[in-house]
Amino acid sequence: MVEPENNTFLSPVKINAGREALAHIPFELAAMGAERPLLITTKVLGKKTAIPRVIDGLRGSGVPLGIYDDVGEHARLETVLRLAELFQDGGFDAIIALGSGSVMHTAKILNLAVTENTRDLVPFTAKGDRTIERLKPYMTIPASSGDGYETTSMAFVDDLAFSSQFLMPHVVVVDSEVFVPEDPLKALSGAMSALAHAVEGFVGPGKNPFVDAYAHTAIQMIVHHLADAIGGGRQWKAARSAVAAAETMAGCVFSNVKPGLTHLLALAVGQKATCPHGLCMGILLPYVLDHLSTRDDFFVDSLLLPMASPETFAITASELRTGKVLTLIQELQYALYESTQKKLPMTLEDVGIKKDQLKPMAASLADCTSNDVNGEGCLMILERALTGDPIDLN
Amino acid sequence: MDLPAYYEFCCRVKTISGHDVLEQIPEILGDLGARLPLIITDKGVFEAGLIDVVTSVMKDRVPCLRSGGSVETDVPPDSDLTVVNRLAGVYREKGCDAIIAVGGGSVLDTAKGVNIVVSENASDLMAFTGTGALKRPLKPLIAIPTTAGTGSEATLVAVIADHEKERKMLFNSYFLLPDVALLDSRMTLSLPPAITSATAMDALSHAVEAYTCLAKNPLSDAFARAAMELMRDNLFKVMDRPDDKGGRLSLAVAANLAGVAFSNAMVGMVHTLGHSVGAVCRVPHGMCMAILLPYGLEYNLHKNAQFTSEMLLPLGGEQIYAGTPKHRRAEKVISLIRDWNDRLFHLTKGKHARCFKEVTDPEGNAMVSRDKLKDIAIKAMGDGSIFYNPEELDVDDAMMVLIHAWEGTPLNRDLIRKG
Repeated sequence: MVEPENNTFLSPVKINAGREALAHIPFELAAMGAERPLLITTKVLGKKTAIPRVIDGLRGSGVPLGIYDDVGEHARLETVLRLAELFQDGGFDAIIALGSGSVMHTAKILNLAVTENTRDLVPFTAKGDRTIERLKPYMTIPASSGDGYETTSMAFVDDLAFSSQFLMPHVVVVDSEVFVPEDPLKALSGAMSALAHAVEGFVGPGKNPFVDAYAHTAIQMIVHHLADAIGGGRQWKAARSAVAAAETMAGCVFSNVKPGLTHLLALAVGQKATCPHGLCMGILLPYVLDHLSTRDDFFVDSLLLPMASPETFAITASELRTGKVLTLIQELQYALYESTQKKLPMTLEDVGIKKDQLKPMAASLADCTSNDVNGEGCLMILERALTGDPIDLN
Repeated sequence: MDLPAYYEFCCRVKTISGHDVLEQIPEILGDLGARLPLIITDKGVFEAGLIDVVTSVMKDRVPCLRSGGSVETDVPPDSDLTVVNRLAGVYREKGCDAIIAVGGGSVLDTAKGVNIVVSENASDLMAFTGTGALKRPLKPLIAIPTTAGTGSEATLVAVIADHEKERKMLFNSYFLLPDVALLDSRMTLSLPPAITSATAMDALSHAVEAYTCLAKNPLSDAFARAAMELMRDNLFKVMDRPDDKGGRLSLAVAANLAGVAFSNAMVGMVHTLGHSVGAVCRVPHGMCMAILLPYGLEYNLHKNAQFTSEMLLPLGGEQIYAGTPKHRRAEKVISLIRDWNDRLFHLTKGKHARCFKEVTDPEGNAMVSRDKLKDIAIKAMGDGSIFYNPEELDVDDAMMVLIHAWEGTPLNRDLIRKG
C-alpha cells in the first residue's frame, strides 16, 4: 500500500443505499435539522411511475414537501433564480434533488443562492473572489444516469463553473425502486465516467488510503454489477442501484483528487464528439492506462485487486498485473458492446472524430496545469483510440 | 459481489494527515470562521509537552490567543458533567468561538459535551441525549488525537458521566463529528512501546470486527482492509524504531481508518467482553482488545469462515495469502494475530499481555483474578455491541471464552453453542 504522507481528505456525503432506503429520508432530514424540504426534478422524470411513488411516500410519512418539476435538460441560472424566490417565499429550509445531471447542478447553486441570500452568483464562481461556505441541508436521490458530476464538488450553470466541497450533497439516498428503465447507452455513459474517475483516483499520484477505499469499492461494484444493470434481467434494479452507489463514491473520489488524464482528454474530445463525455472516457480509458503504466508514479498494476478477485490478484506475478488489468478493462467493454447490440462506441471514429481534429485537441490540453499531460503523449493516446489500435499486453 | 440489502456509510470529518499538519491550524480556524479557540486536553498530554507543540504553531498566527483563549488540562479519564459545565463556563467567559480537543477518547467526549452546552446554550445536557436531539451545526471542533488507537476523532457519539446522579449520558448525532481531524506524527512519536502496541491492537480490533460483524458494508470493508494493511506494514517497524515518523503517521492513519470502519459497521463480542473486563477489573481497553481479538474470531468461525479468511490478504500480504490453501486461511488469520501478540509480548518485555492472567498493574500485581470472570461474563450481557456479533453469545459461552482468554489457551470449538 502507498503510505500516507501529507494528505487531506473530505467527503461530507452520507450514503444510504439499498432496499427501502427511501423510508429513511424523514429520519435523515430530521438529523440535519430540516423541516420543510423543496424537492426539485424534471418533467420527464415526473411522468415516470417511480417518481410519483417517491413523492407520495414522502408526503405519506408527513414530510411537508414542496415540489418543482421543471428543471430542464441543462442547468440554467434563470431556473436557479426562479427557484431561489420560490424557496424563500415558501419558507423551505432544505433541498432534495431527484434525478441526475442538470437537477443536481441546479440544486447545488440554488443552495448557494438561498444560503447566501443573493442573486449575484458570479463572485462565487471558480474565477470569482468569494468563497463558498457551509450551505443548507441538501439531499440527492439518483433516479437516472447523469454526467458524473452529481456528487462532486463541481457545478455548472449556464457558462458559470463553481467548485467547493460545500456544494457536495450531505446525504445520497440510493433506492432501487426509483430507477426507471433508460437507454443503455445513457446508463453506460454515467457508469463509465464513474469508472474512469474511480480508476484515475486509484492509480493516480493523488492516491491516499481514503481515496483508495472509496475508489476500490466503486470499481469493484461497477465491474460486478454494470452488465446486469443494463441487461434488463430480473435483477436489473438492484444492480442499477449498486452502480448508482458506485457513481456516488466515484464522485467523492473525483472531489478529492486532481482531474486525471482520461477526464481531461475526454473533455477535449467531447466538444467534437457525437456522444456524451462519459462514453468518451470509456473509449480513452484503456489507452490512458496503457500510457501511464510505464510511469513509476502511477500504479496501474494495483487495479487488479478491485477489478478481479483477491485470488487472481495474489497469484498474478506483479510484472504481469498491468497486462491483466488492461485485458479485464477491454473484456468489460467488449461485453458491454455485445449487450448493447454493438451500439456502444469503441473508438473515437465511432463518435465522429476525424484524424485531423486530434492535433488541435492535444494542443488544447497543453494549457492544462497538470504535469501528467504532455502534448506528444496525448496525441499518441488519441491516435490509438481513434481507430481502436490493439493494446500489446506484453 | 454480495451487497447488504441496506447499508449506510458516512465519513464526514475532514481528515488531514502529515508530519507538520498542526501548522495548518490557523488557516483551518480561519476557514471555519473562528478566531479564538478553547483548547481542551488532559494532564498526561499536557505533561508530555504535546500542548506546547500545538500552541507554538498558533502563537503568532492566531492574534486573539495573545490576549485571551485558554488551555484547559484537567479532563479526567472518563469525561464528566461537572468538568463539561466548568469548561463551558470558561469558553463563555473568555469569548471563545471554537474548540480544539487534544487527546484521546475522554478529551474528545468532553469537548463534544462542551460544544453542545455552548452551542445550544443548554443548561441541562440531558435534553440532548439520544439520537437526533441535535438539530443544527455546533461550534467548530478540531480533534487532534494523541494515540493511534481509539479512532474516536471519526465517531459521532459521546459518552459523558453524571457522577452526581450516577448515570451515563449517551449522545449520538452527525453534528457531534469534529469538523476537522488532524493526524500529526509528532503527537504519537513519544508513546512508550506498551502503549503503542495496546493502542494499535485496539485499532486492529476495530478493523477486524468491522470486517466480520453483522453491520458490515462494502465501504466499511474497504476502510477496514486499508487499516489492516497499514498495521501489517508499520506496527513492527515502529516497535523496532519508535522514532520512525513515517511509521507513526501510518499507524495514526490506520487507527483513523479503523475508526471510520467501526463507526459505520459496529463491533461485536471482542468489545462486548472487553468493555466488561475494563469495567470490572480496570484493565486498559487496548489490552483487553489485544487479548480477546483471536478469541472473537475463533468463536464466530463457523459463521464467518469466509470473511475471516479474506482478511489474510491485508493482514498477511500477498505471498502468505497465495501460499495458504483456501480452507486454511481463516485459521491462519487467527494464528497470525496470536503471533503478533506474542511478538509484542516479547518486544515490550512482558508488558503487552497475551492472556488475562498475564495482565499486571504498574506495581506488578495481577489485575484480573480468575474468580472475577463470572462477574465479567454477566456484566457483558448488557453491552450493546452484543447484537452485532455473528453468533449469539450467551453467558455460559462468554464464561467459556473468558476462561480460555485468561489461561491463554485456544477455544475448543466443538463446545461452542451454535445457533
